[in-house]
Amino acid sequence: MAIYTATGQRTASASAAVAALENPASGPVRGFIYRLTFGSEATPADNPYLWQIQRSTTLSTGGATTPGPIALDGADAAATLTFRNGALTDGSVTANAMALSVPLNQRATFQIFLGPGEEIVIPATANNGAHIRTPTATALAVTTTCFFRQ
Amino acid sequence: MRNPGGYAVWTDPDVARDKERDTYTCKHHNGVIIVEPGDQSWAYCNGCDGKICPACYAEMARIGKCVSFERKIEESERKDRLRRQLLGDYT
Repeated sequence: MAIYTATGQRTASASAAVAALENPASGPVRGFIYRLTFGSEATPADNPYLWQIQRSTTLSTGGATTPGPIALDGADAAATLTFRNGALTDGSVTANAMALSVPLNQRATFQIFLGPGEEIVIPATANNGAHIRTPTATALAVTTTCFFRQ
Repeated sequence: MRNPGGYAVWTDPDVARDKERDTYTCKHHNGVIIVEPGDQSWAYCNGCDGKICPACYAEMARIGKCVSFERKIEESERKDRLRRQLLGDYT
């Protein structure tokens, strides 16, 4: 299995995801998210908001897919899973299918490390994925870094 | 928590020490649960040999059987493979 990292940035939106890690329409593979970082690079202020990882069944659109996930071992092939970030429009997210939900103050940074067998799994199903969302955020600059293997 | 599946860290400049918590991933819905100190509310499923969250434990007690996340996504993947075979874009 190869491991990859990808970073998503945008001005947070309550209605659109910060980033989405998704399977393509053909040749899907299982993805395993094992490490995540959430935070804001805006001027420090007290703004509580929520980060969520929500499962999705159709592809997001817009935003940017470059530079794409970076293989931590340079000898590995490019990732099959695509990582879209920026001004994207959400795909169909599954109601109540939250893999992670973390309330956070804008001043704080959150990191989570998931051991083997404990990862957030993206099924090898066409167009399925996970959206990294901030459903209650005001318009502040946010960043997430996602480490995954496939 | 004994044998946690993961580890979460909050770094806040207003707080002297980082906040650290153990986590586990529910084997029935693949959600990550952050465990507060002293919290013993997770359950163990013998069917899938792993920790499950209270909501999934209640659901398992209601339907009387283990429905693991692995089984759910295998079903989803099987349907998707069949669909793509029928549509001719199987890869």
